[in-house]
Order: sequence, then C-alpha cells, then structure tokens
Amino acid sequence: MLSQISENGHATLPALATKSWGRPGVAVSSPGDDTEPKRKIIAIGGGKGGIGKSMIAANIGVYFAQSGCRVVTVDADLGGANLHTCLGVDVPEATLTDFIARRVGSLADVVTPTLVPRLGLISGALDFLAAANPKYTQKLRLIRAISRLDVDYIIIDLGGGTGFNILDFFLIADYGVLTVIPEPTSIENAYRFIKAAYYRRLKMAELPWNVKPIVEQALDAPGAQGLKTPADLVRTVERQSPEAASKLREELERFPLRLVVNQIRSAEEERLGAAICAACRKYFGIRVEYLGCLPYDDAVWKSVRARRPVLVEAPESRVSHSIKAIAASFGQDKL
Amino acid sequence: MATQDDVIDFYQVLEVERSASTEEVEQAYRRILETLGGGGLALYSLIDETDYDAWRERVALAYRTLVDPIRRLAYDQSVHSTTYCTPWVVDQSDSTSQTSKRHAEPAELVEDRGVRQEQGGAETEDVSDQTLSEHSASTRSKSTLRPSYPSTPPQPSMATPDVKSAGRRFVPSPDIVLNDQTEFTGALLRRLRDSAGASVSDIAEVTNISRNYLRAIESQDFEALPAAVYVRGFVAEYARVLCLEPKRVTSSFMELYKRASVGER
Repeated sequence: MLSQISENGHATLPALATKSWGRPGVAVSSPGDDTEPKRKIIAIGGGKGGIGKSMIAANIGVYFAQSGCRVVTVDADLGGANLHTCLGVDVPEATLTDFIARRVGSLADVVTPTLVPRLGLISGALDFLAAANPKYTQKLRLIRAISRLDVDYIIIDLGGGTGFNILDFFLIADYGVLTVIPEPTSIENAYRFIKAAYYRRLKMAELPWNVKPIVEQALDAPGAQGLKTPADLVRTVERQSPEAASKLREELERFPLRLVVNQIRSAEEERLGAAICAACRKYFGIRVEYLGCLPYDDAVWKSVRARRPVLVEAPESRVSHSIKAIAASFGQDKL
Repeated sequence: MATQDDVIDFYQVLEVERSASTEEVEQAYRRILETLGGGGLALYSLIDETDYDAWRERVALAYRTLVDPIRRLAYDQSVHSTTYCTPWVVDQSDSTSQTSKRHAEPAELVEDRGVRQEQGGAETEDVSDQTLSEHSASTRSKSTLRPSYPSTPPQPSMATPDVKSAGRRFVPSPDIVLNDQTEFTGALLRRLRDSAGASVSDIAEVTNISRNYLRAIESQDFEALPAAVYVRGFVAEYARVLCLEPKRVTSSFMELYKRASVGER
C-alpha cells in the first residue's frame, strides 16, 4: 500500500488522505486555514513499560479517526516498538528508521494506513540499533517533521524510561498524558518521569537571562540529586533570587500534565487518580489534570490477541466507553 | 541537623501558616486525605514507607490539635512561645498565683524555666537551635537570676480558663524529685506516669500516640520505635500530658535514643 502511494507521487498527507485512507467528501480541515486550530499533539508516556501506553495511544487514535478526524499515531518507542500490533498492522515496510536514515524524503512517506479509515501509523524503528539513540540533530529533524504533519491529531506513543529522547517527544506535545497502573513500580516511575520531564523542560525553557544560570546551577550543583521535587528546586533557587523563583513558579503553572489510570480493579483504586493529582500538587507543586481511569477489562487482552484495537473489536465494552470518555475530554479544557 | 531533631511542628505537618484559620487547617487536612486515596499508593516513593504509619499518625494528631481552638492555644503556648510553666498544667481550683503550684518542685527548675522563656521570646522560630543554646545556657548560676520578659507576656496570661480546660493532664507525685540533672529515662517516665495515676491507655487517649509506641518509649525499646523525629514528637507529647517540660524531657530522652543507635553501629 505504501509503495502504491509513493508511486503515485503522493508525498504529503493531504493527498494521501484523499487517496487511500481518507474518506472522500469528509472535509476535516483544509490546509492553510489559519482560523482552525492546528493539529494537536498528544503524547502518551508513563515511564514504565507494560502499563498500556500503546493500547491507549492506539485507541485514542481510533476514537478521533472514527469521529472524522485525520490522525497519525507515532510509535516513538524507538527501542521496543509495538504500536503496529495494537493497531493490527503487519510489521510495516517503512519505519521511522527510514526517515532518520534519510532513506525516504518525508515523514509522510513512512505513514502506514491501518484498518481504520483516516488513521495512519508511523511505526517505530524495528532495527533499533540504528535508531534507538538518534543523534540530537536527527531528533530535532524528526520532532520538526512530526509537528508539521498535516493532520488533525498526532498521537505519540512513548517508550518506557525517562531518557532525553522520550522526554523531548513528551514536551513538544500539546497534551502530555501520563499513564499509571495501581502498582508501586508504576507510581514510582511516574513520579520519576514527572520530575525528569519538568527538569528537562526547565533546561530547555526560555527563561530570562538572569534566571537561567541560577536554575542551571541548581540543577547541576553537586548533590542536585538531593533535590527531590520541583518544589525543592524552586526553594533552592529562591534563596539565590526570589525573582527567579517566581519565574520558575510560572513555569510550573504552565506545565499541565494529564493523568490516566489504567487497569483499575476496585473502587478503592478508582480514587488513586485523584490522590496522585493531590500528591503532585502537594509535593511537586505541579498541576495534574485527571482525565479518568480505565477498568481492568478482559476485552483488552482479547483484542490484543486478535490484534485489533479494542474500540474496533469490542466497542461496547466497559473499557471502550472509558477510552472514548477520556479521548473526548481533549480539547475541552483550557489548559 | 535542624530537621532531624526538631520538635514536631504541627503547622509544618499540615503545611499551613501559623496564622491559618480553622477552615484553612481543615482544607489542608482534606488535601492530605486526598493523597491517601487508592490505599495510599499515590504516596509511594514520595513518603518514606517505613515511616508511613508514623506520618499518618502525626498528621492526624496535628489536625486534631490545630482544628480545636482550645488544644491549639495550648499547643501554641507550649511549643511556639516555649514557655513551660505550671499554672495551666495544674488543675487546682485556685490559679490566681502564677508561681508554681507544682507542690514541692525544686526552686531552681522553676527559675530555670524563666530563663528559657526569655530566650524563647527572642527566637521563637528556630526551635532546634534554641534547644541547643538552651541546653548550654541553662546553667545553675543563671537560673538564680530573675528573668525579665522582653517580648513574651509574663506567665499569668497562660492561666486562662480556656487553656486550663484543654485536654487532660496528669500530675505526677511531687515525691519524685526532678532537677536539671535528671535523666528522663523510659523507666522514669513510667514512674511519673504511675505516680500520676495514669495508665498507658489514658496517655494514649489524650495524646493519640499508639499504646505500643508509648510502651516502647517506657521500656526504651528503640527498635520498636520509628525514626528519631517521630520519637521526639511522641516523647514531647507524653511529657506534656505529664506536666513535664517537653524540651527538657525530649533532649534527655533523645540522648539515650542516640546513644543506643550509635551503640548498634
């Protein structure tokens, strides 16, 4: 299918959309229309593997595609890509590796159609040796290309861990979604992820010239590992410069995270999401918006085994309804 | 070293200002309760797990103390102005005379408290430093001086009816003579408690400290106790309900605690 598209010379997504996976006649957004809000990037992270990031990313993508939007899901799990399996796509011919290695002209060339109309997939690098650690310039080029894709929604499925490559994809997103499951390991990694993402953001942030050195000094200071939370950092900086600290607080305020709790089995666990948000506010000084939870549902593993998104395989299951509710909440907030 | 050995600061525990209203105290407590949803899992890796129970206990104690105006007043005056004098502690009918009604209490101790109060008035904020300086400063020669009160009001103000009715107190028998050199061991605390006619359960009820911890304090079973900062808080509470001066008792007891933990190493 991909080669077909390339042969036809459709290098960009609008053409692609009408040709193979767009529904003719459904105008979603026209290129160059500045009044319409541009494409939204949603990144699904969580710092730990096996917590349902790919499942959630795939199904949120399905939801938007089914509601008539053009969507590309990006498997940015450069070392352990499996989003294609969640979407029922065979090992794609072209992957991110081809883009990184410049074997293809544009990112649109590595978009693989899925069984859901309007939903495309950019698969992660399967030969990860080459691409699991892209050079900085390669990564910038990739990030630029992702944010230029001409679609309505870009859903990025992040790998586990808190490496810079993962954090940088997370930080370019309009919606950074953190996934956790009710297990201590997941909670611990989630907090680690929040901290790492926040510090990374501060490093990259455009802070006033007189604030930045103080922040960097605090981040790089010996014993900076002792800085437990962003709130600690603010306090450290405050000792140097109250003005810098207030800038940091503004940055904290502007760092809206979203949270999804997956694999909920009891009413007690349902309260976990709100508890994590409260803990983040209290201990990190970070605002986290709780999007909702997904029940532990056999429909999920059944659909994985059938290699089809659960929204397609079991649209009336409890988990499908929950996913739809969560996906529908994007764009409704003012964060 | 400031934080480790600090007396429990209930305001810090709930993260509210000293001037916080009752509503603010309630809000702060509710925020903490929220974080306990999901079986406390949300606090994993944020709060030291081994101290989790002690922390919960401390939060509950802080809340109960600060949300109740009477208890709060008693707490404020006992901790934050660091004045430990006897009037509010003694449940005698006549509290007009502010000089110690504490039976046969050694005169030096009372005087000595006056000296402390003076220091306390000067530095109410940094509790830990104060503990140290106080220790070295409270010599016998000094205690004979009549203190003046530069910033804190003199003791009679504490003998308000409100304070008097705050919480139950147990007055140990005056036959147990206490002075500057007294080492407040677990055994002595038990003797004082017995002499006051209070059971461990009585103390537990008033202080909200678990009976197991109280027993561990009395038997100096340090292994059964949580981290030093909590033990200090427990001992301070214990001392308070026994009408003892918390700072004196805690610094003496924590000395034992430290020695024991050094011995282990």
